[in-house]
Amino acid sequence: MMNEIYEPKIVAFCCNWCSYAGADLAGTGRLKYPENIRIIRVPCSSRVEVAMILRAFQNGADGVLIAGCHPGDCHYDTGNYHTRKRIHLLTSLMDFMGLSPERLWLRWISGNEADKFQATVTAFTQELRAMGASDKVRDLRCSR
Amino acid sequence: MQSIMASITQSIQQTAAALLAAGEVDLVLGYTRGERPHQSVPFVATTPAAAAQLHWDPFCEKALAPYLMEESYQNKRVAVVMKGCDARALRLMISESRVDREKLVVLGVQCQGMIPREKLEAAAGEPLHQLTLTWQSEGVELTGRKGSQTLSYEAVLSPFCLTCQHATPAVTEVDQIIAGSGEKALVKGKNIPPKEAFSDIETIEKMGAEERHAFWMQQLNRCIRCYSCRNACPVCTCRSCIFDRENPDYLDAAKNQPAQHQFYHVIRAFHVADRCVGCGECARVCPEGIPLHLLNQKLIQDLTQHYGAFTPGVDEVPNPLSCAGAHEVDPFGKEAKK
Repeated sequence: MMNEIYEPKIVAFCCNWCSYAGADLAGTGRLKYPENIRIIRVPCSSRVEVAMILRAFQNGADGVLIAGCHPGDCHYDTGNYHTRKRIHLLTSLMDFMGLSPERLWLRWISGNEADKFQATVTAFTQELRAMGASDKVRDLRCSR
Repeated sequence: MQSIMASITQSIQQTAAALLAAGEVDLVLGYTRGERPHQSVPFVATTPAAAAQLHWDPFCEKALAPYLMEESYQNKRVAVVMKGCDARALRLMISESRVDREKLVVLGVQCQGMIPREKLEAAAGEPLHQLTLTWQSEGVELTGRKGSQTLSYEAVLSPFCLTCQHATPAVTEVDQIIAGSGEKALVKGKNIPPKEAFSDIETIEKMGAEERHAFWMQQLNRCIRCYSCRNACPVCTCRSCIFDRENPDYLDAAKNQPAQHQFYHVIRAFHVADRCVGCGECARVCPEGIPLHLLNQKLIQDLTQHYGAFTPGVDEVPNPLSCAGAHEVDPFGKEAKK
């Protein structure tokens, strides 16, 4: 009998203007991507604060994907620069604390990159499957 | 000869008494001797006679800036004794409209560096109450039951003070500089790089991921969520703190949940990341002795390394995390091109 494949849960914060439209296009174009992802639409990727990321991990996410407009394409001019800076620091701090920063991805996906959205989700799911369940930042009172 | 500590004390007392007698201020916030040996605690003088109790020595560690936010200090004219780190925090508070500068008289002290009592006790090898201290130019002379010895200031000063570049508040920021006379500068040429003073960071970075996780688990699990680190921090100045809210169910002080401790400490470090003045109060007040300052120092190091040096409370705002631009490094660009 084959070993059961671990199905990770991914919380994806998608920027309303680019990445969410990209995900939408992937749907309209019937591009298939793993169903491990739960998309949350945010007005801008810079809306995603550190607390939201940690909360996702606490409550059972194995990976968190933040997707925003390409640098220079932000609907609000500088929103994704803020995201970039914040996530850069957070990744480094998570690494310092041994909280598996490889489970946090930030990617630039524009409104017409449905294929990139598909590829990103597929790649992230595969990596998380190999890593197994996240146990570093987990509130044990939360059921999965 | 009068030591610099005594001369600063005298100078503070005289200035405070004069300000109070002239009715220029309602109260003077400073330090006085504490109950325990070689301890200084915050003190409020409201009359010229009480000003004689004001005191200055290298044990005046407590940051006084947070007091100015409290209700009882509002709408009062306050004179406040400030070290360099405190004055930097005050400048941040002013830029964020937390306090009214017009109502303040800032007495900037030429800070000589602070000595943690535990460090002194460990270096002396004798309980503090048995020691008499004399401030010499080359070090502090300890006279105890075992005899007398002289320790260099580098050996006893707090690591935060050894790396401090702004011990004396900038003249433009204060109303009066209290310099004192006699032997100057406990530390000659404080140019110890932070990397040396906080070598723990490098030690932790060299560990494996699992080891780092175990280290921080062991540290953070001791947290009793007393919020002392937040309350003592001179730059944690939000009027309503996220951790005081009743509402969010994902936030609580469950002591058996490591995730809640991680959450609290990551958020705390992040909220002061680009505003930390490096006074070390968070680690000092922690009843469990958690090295909280390492998280802050790590963030400062990262900010400096990737986004250039910035000294909060000295350099002009905006702070690095309040602004962002196209020219900055893009660590996520390469993968994004895949």
